[in-house]
Amino acid sequence: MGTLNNKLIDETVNSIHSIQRAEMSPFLFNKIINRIKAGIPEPIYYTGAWFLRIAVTGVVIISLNAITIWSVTKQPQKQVNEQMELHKIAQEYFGNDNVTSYFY
Amino acid sequence: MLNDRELIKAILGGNEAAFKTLYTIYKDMVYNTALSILQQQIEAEDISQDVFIEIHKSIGKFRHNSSLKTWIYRITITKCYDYLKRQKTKKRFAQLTSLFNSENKLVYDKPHFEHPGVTLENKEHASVLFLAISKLPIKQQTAFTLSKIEHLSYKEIAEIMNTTTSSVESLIFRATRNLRVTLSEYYKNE
Repeated sequence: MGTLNNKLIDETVNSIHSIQRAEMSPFLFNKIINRIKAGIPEPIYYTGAWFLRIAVTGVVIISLNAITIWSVTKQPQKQVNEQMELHKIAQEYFGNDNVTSYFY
Repeated sequence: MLNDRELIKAILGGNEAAFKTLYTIYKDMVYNTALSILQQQIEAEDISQDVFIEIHKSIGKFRHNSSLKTWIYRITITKCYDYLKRQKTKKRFAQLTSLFNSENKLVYDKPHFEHPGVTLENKEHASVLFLAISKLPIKQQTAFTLSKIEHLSYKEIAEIMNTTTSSVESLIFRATRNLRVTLSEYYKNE
């Protein structure tokens, strides 16, 4: 079995010596010249690096959106807090709850 | 017959006949190298087109640090590597999105390859051999192909692959050993 396998392996490896030159289509030169004359650029292939770039851009856009949404939704709470702080200060210094009256 | 420098000068001057001469000299070399590495006829023709367009575009940048033949081999191999990388990405993407057909086989599985330059009596063996070659790491595959199919010397291969002669020797030794292991597994399962 081992000898038979070795014989098969040798025959397979040696089959490489029987390979002759293959010829390509005779019309290829015209295709190349036409592409050169037309100035057709090579197709842009999207490789792994491109997918990574697209993914990173996507993550950045989503994060920026999330931050913006978070800060916008957080705003009313902040305003209320500021208002409360002003009232506290007004109470403390002037004993009056309506702080806006002092500004006009 | 123009030498390399005259040929390049003529091409740079926009002489189409000179470019056709270059194409005639190197077309078989480019196509057969691409065919052995890619193992797909249509893709090898497409890559050959890209190689000659690249040569036409970049010939002004050729600095005569190596021979024109070596430079063209390098472009061919680079284009083939880029193609294989894209195929790998496609395959990975197919795995990720679970693009399976009804028989549960991967859509991007490599088709069975029959080299058009193989004689009828060796077709079966050569087909198995190419399958085993395609499983080798890309550098081993390139060195093995350039040595056994393109019949280049270790020195020439080293220049093309930008490495040392001893590295090429080692790559070919490992390629042959790995091929025998793959083939032994293949025939054991047959």
